[in-house]
Amino acid sequence: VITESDLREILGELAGAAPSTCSFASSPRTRVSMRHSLRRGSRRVRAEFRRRPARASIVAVVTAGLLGTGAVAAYSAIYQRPVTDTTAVRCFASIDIHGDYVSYSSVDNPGDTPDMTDPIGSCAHLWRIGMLPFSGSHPSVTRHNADDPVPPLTECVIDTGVAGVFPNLASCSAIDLPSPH
Amino acid sequence: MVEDGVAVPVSFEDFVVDAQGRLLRFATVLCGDPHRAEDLVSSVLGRCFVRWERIGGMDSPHAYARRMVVNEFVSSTRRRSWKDQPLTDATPLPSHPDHAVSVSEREALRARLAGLPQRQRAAVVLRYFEDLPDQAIAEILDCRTATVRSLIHRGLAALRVEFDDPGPAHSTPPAVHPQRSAL
Repeated sequence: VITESDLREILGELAGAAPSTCSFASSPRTRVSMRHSLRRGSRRVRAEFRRRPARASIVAVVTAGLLGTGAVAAYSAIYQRPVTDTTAVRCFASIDIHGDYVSYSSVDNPGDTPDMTDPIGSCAHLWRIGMLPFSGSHPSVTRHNADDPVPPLTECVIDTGVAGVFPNLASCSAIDLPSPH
Repeated sequence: MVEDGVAVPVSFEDFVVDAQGRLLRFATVLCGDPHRAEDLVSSVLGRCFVRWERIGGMDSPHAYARRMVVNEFVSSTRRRSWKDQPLTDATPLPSHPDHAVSVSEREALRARLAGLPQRQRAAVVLRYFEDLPDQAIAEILDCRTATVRSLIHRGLAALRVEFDDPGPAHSTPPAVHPQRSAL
């Protein structure tokens, strides 16, 4: 009579005939299912890669925005300063901070008051009346009606906090001066 | 794999290394043919690979794969009538001359085992090879525990009766197969 323990033993013997390994995907059905799986996987990976540029663009735009804001803030801190001395405007004759200039001041010129809120306009006035380029003498009264050519003017801030206006200057940073706020 | 009560996902490669041998032994006992067992397990591993994201996070991927082997065996048997192919055609078993059960009896038992309906065979193998309780077998076979007990009882009965029937020297144990005893 076969007992349950005999059955266990015989089943164990059956297990002894089992192969130690199986060649993976040996059956056509397995290969087909795996192929489908790999295709699905590759489609998913492709889809993820397609989505990535969008995410990367967003991240790049946000990062660029933050960097840009930071750069602007840094630029403002370093290359911009307020004009603290509004008693005069220094109108330069050339792009040379050590060169000739006319200090256009309400104190020095009581009869010819510059517009301190518009240094470029004030210096343009000096160019127009022939006081610049600097000739070493104040313009005569009759020259007040002159209409000399005015070069492109750029306002910067010099060390004393006075507005300095230079002709034909593309940017204050070119001569290491901050721009006014 | 479970660590501190939390299922830790394992890689498919680790799972194959760890579970392949056990699955192959189980499948060989289940279907009685090492070659078919290899096909069975490779097919199951293939399907595990396809769904590994889900299976790898389970408490016991091996139990799930074993269940897949059983289901594959039952459905494949239905499709291909494996049970019609006698297990004696499979790789011969190592002989155990000192054992109480004779070689002819073993061969006869193997043949009767091969003749069992697939669900009975699966229930018997899960009980006597995997040592699973009724509840676990019921979950694998997707049936009630009472059905499991019935499957095992009828499986055992068929195995023993078939064994004892042919020879006049053997007496049919009435407790094992009451229907036959009633005859």
